[in-house]
Amino acid sequence: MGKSEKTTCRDAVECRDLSIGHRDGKPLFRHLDLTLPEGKVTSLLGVNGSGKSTLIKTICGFIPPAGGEIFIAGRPLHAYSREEMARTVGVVLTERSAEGGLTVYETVSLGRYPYTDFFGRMKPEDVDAVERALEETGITDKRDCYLSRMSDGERQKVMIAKALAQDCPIVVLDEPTAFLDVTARIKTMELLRRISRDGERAILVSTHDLDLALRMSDNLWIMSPKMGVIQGPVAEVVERNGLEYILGDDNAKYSDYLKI
Amino acid sequence: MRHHRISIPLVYAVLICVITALAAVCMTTGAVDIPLSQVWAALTGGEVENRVWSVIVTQSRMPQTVTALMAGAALACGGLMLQTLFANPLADPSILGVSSGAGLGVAAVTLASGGAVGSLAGTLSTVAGAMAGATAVLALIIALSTVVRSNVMLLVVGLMIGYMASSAVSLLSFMGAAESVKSFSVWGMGDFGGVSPARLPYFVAITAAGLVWALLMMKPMNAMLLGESYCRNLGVGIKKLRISVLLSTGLLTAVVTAFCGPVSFIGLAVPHMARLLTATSDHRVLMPVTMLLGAAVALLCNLLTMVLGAGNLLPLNVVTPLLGAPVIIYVIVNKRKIAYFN
Repeated sequence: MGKSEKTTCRDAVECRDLSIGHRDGKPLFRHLDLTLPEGKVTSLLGVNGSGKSTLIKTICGFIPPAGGEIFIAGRPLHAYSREEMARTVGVVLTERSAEGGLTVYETVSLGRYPYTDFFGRMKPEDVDAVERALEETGITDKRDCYLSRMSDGERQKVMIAKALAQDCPIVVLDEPTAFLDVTARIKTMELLRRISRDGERAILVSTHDLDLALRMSDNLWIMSPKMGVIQGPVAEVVERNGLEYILGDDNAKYSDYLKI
Repeated sequence: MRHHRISIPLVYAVLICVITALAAVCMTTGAVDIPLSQVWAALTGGEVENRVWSVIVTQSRMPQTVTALMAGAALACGGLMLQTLFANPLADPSILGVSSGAGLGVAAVTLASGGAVGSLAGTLSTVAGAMAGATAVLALIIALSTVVRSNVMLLVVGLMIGYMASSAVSLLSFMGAAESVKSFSVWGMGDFGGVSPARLPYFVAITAAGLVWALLMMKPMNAMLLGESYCRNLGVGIKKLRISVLLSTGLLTAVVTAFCGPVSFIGLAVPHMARLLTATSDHRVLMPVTMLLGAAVALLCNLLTMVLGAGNLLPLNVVTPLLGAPVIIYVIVNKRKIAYFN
């Protein structure tokens, strides 16, 4: 497939023969063929250091692939300008910076960055998008709260709302449930399911939480030290392979999964 | 939990009134007190009772007041940009080593020329030296910023470069003649009165250009608050932005340091005062407020050097820490309560 126009294809992201890792080092994974379907939540599982973050960073265009190609909505990733990427793939990370002094509303408004003018003035449609995002994530009543006054779970919601305001067909989340308690984890996953259905968005979530991933996502990408990356609908993947086999030899690792 | 924010137009209005009032007091106060009406007459070219007053106002107080105003805005703005760039509330222009670089340039010139700071040629070469030193450090930082990609590491590199520059300054002072060492240390104490009427337009033009440059970056600096990855994901060219922030801050710091000496604490403390006052981190509000507040604080410091000195002009760096350090201590003590710190 050459440079096809922006067609509505079912796969929001397609990796072909992708190798990930830093260019000068040994690639972490080679020859990955992966697809991220629209309207579904796909969980990316793998042990620490297996390359989950690297894969996510590669798909977001933060680091170049070590080989192969990534297609986003049918177009090669490298053909996207920075601005186009900003309107196509929204990210939610665990990274914290100096955002504590911003209010919820201000933070979510930053999601409109790729759409606003030189001074960041919001047009009516930008305000609408922010309001919608606040509503979808259920944080409308916290709009004037400072981020520094919010719990980790609430902050996560704000960043998800930011990604929604960004109006991207693809949302990528790196460990969104990592610092959350059980209830907040389930609520976050429920929220992700809902937004994947509502906007036909493709959601990719990296997580340690095997249990939650099995129960609440539609698809799995499992980065296995033994078998490379396995993908498919949850039931299919489990049935086909058996989890112990996928996740490594020793039971210790497997139980780690269930615990975290 | 709702927070009451102060009305921003009110903040602008009050700050402009305060700046005007302080500027007026600065013009009337000094070794000779001149009535405000006479100051006005001198500035507008009207009849002045005493010709000496007219000279004092136009040749000394007006340039000094304007210099304080512009330098304060420039230093405060530079501090704000660096605090955002490094996501570090304790960063300020001197951290980058730019002030030390300027100091090194001044030391080299002063000590090489045997301490002829009083003459016009001496002053000009001091300015040139400061600019050269600051620009050299800046070029080094920018070159390193493409290799050292983490902001925190870059901050440490800036500190190290600053130490190296101070080491060279110490060596030069050690070897220099006693007289030149004295004139260099006088420059090192800071002074808004060093800009002559002839050079004032240049000083104002360069600082104004730097301030406008900074104002053009208000939008991407907001995205920067979220951290580098989020910032990139919003479509910001992070590399270009970092270089642009470094260059504009460097320009502002170099020009102020060259003309006024290394003025401490305004760059560090004023952005905090602005954040506490406006209760926001949004640069579209924070940056103009920081500039105005910087101008007001610098005018106040300028006034205090005259008032506290009781006839003698105190060095500027005697006064700035008295205002700046308590602000920083307040912020650190209350850091749990302050939203932008967490």
